[in-house]
Amino acid sequence: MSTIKVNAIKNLSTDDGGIAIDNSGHVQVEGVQLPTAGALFARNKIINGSMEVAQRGTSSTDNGYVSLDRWFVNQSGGSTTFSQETFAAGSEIDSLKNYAKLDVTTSSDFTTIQQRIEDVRTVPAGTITVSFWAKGTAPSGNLAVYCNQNFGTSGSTGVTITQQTVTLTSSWQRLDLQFTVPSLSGKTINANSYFEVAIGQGSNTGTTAYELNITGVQLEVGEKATPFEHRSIGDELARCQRYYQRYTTTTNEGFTIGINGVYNTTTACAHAFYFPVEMRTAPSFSVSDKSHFDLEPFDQEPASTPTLWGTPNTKIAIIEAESPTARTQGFASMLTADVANGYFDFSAEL
Amino acid sequence: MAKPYKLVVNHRGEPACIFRVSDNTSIPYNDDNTDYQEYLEWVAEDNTPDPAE
Repeated sequence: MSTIKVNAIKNLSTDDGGIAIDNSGHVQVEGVQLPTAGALFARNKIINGSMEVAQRGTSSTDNGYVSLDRWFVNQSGGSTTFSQETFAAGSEIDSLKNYAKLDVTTSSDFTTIQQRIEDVRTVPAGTITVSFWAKGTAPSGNLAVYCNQNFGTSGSTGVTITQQTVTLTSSWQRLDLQFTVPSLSGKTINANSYFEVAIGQGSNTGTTAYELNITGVQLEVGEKATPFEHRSIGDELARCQRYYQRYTTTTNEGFTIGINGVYNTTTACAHAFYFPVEMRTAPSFSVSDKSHFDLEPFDQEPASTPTLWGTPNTKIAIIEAESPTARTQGFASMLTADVANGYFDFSAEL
Repeated sequence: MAKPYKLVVNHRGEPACIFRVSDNTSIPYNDDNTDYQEYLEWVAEDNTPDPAE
């Protein structure tokens, strides 16, 4: 057995393409970085890194899960507008159609966007790489990226992985940062644990406005950033729906959305909703407004806001709506929304 | 003064959920639900929800 030691393999007739091997032994094929660790498939631990899915709406000035799915806006005392943006046709970067904009008019320390990756064990000990496309104006202290290990309800005390900063410019650039994830040995890991990545202003307490435009976010195991892992919109939406599902009317006509049910008593109507994707845990249930809904076939607004009948499981929820008029027990019922943008949703976010 | 949370019972009189008034949200009694965790923190601060009607 023998070893050939080279740092590149090329065709005799061209310097283009070929195989490059760096001083750490990591390999690029025709300029494309190969993984240095971890799986070859499903490498990206981030959901909706392509910023395509925005079930809650495309823009919000609020704190929390407010617009793009899986992305949490941590205003931390600052003022922000978080929105989904679309590249002009032909101007897409890396075949990405959308990007997120975090417009911060008043900032603070840790005014960031964050994503919590379910189960802290999803990101194992060792070197990981966070990469993304970004442009904008730099926050105080420059653009910071940091991570946290959270060990769940009554689990071990969380661990913060030291923040790193990169220079944000007015032009799109692919940035990547490496972090060392501590060992999980000796930790008590309970339900609701997560690994969190945050991007924005770090520990700097400056209040200067900044604007972050970002897309193609990837967190992967290994020392090198590999190409962004593109997923189909259907795949990405399904991943998001494990944590959040919204159903919205598209017109002001009834029967755009509805849940079938029955008059369980003369006034209490029970409606069963089967989640198309099993949710992370028993979800909360919200409606846009009681006045946006009708009980069919009698076309009557419910007497009170529809609520959960009891604690749902991760696959099905029963929604109770009260009929303002007594009907025969056993009649069919359908809870529908009849205004534009009326909605109901289920949330099982971390 | 209206409270941010209200208990809800179903038509059988059984505890159904906790209703968060600000955004018409039904919160299930489930320890892994983050809305329920926030509710428990609020109760731990010596707050009491409105009773069910």
